[in-house]
Amino acid sequence: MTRHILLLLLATAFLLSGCGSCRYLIEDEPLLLHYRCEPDREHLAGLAQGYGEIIRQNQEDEAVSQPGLFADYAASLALLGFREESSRWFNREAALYPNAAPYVAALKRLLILEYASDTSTDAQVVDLSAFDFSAPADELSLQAAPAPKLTPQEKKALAKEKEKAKKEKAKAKKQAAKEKAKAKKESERQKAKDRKAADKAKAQAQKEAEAAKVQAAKEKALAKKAEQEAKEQAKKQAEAAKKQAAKEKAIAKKAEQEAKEQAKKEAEQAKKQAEKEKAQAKKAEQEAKDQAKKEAEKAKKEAEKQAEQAKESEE
Amino acid sequence: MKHHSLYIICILLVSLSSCRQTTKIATYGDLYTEAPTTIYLAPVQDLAPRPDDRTMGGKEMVREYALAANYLPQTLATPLLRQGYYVLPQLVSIQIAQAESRSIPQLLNGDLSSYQQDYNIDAILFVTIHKWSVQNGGIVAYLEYALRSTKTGITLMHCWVKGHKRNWVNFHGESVPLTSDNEFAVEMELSDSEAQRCLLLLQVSDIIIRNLPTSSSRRQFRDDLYKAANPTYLYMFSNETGEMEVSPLALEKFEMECFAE
Repeated sequence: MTRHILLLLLATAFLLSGCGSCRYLIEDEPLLLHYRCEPDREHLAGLAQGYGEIIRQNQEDEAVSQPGLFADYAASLALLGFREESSRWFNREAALYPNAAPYVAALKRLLILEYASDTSTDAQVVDLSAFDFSAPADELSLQAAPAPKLTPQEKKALAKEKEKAKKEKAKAKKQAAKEKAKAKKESERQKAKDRKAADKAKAQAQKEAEAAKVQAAKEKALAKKAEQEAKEQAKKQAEAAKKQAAKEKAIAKKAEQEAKEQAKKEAEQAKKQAEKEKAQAKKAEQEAKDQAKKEAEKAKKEAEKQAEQAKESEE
Repeated sequence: MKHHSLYIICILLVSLSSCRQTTKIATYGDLYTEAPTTIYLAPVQDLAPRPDDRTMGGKEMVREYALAANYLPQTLATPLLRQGYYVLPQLVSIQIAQAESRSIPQLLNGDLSSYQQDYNIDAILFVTIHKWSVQNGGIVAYLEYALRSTKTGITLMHCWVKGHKRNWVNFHGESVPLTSDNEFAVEMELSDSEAQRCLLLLQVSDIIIRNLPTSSSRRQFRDDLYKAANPTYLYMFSNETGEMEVSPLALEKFEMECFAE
């Protein structure tokens, strides 16, 4: 348990330390966009005030200022007529970021030539709330002129009044912020409610769509299965018919082959018989021939014998 | 048979090598060599054709286009600062632009050495809005980003982007703006449609600039040499959570959609 508390404390400390170094950026504010859209003195003053506020906040939070912030503040002050303060802020930028020194020098020559060689960096955020920037520039310079000398008492009273006004302003700002946050919270709550309802409807619709999809898929699968089965049946039948035909063909072929072989056999047998008969006839003929020859020789011999006998008798 | 296998292997190797993403050293080689640290944002070049302001809603559209062009420079500084570059601030940039007499096309093609000599600027970032259009109810912007060196005049980075802020609708077909979009609109005091346009530019610029190499003023310089670089032609579109997704885009498609009538 103690370990968990320790971990929680560490995490909180880490988060808090992270927030401490957050720096405020002018890019997150609409002031720059307002000035770009309508580049007049009023918007420029608003922008300068915004820069001043960011510098003050960064100083309070001990955060590192964004590079170029002091230079932009200086440029806005120069354009509004606060030339000395502008020079000091330009110098602070150049001191903090050496990359900026050449362009700071060029801009000082361009905007505040009389302070081109000034090197003072003791700059303070200018309170612009006391000036009316909706008035033309020459009137502003009158208002911005140094005030008449005051007695210490008057000075004290003025300072007190200023402090009071500042406090009231801060209070009003805080109140406004609170109200704004409340309104935002309310609006967010309403939005969340709406979103929840929309999400619910969406989820329901999605569910229905999915169910329909599943049903359609099921039906499709069934139809596909039936089609597949019919196809397979037809295929089977075709194969059986093919097999039968092949069988019949084979039988016919066998019979034909057998008949052919039988005929061939018979022909060979007949041929053999004929050859045998021919050989027998030839043999008989030869024998007859031999017999005749033998008989002729015998007759010849007999005749010769008779002739010799006759001759002998004659003698 | 043997020859066929060889051909197939060759084709596979070529296709695989083309699928691989290019590294930052290959895409931003000159940027690593030059190592600029100070960047000046040139005024935005807005070439987007305007709708006829006599048509219904035309006047508002013209105003929105101008507002978005005015907002664009604001989207570039913060990501550049995060990458470690020193960016000349907005008001200072406006003063320098007014002091210089050259137009943007002249700057895009001309000699920039005077910026180096007078203001110590190492590189100038040019952004051009080519066209605005609508696709499936969402806003589309065609943009070009170019970073030129003031020392050598070479282009250190150049890319073309089609940014698409999609419009999400609910079950009833009604547009549902994201909470983050609403918050942005409240913070910047903009209407919903103005905020959508500005937010699109903000997200596109953020992705383009965050892909640049880290500045040489940071110790992480050259640590990202072999990380993936963005392609030259990009398509960015917002997803359901409002975040941007990036994919490569064909040159021909960009050219046809952006410049063909």
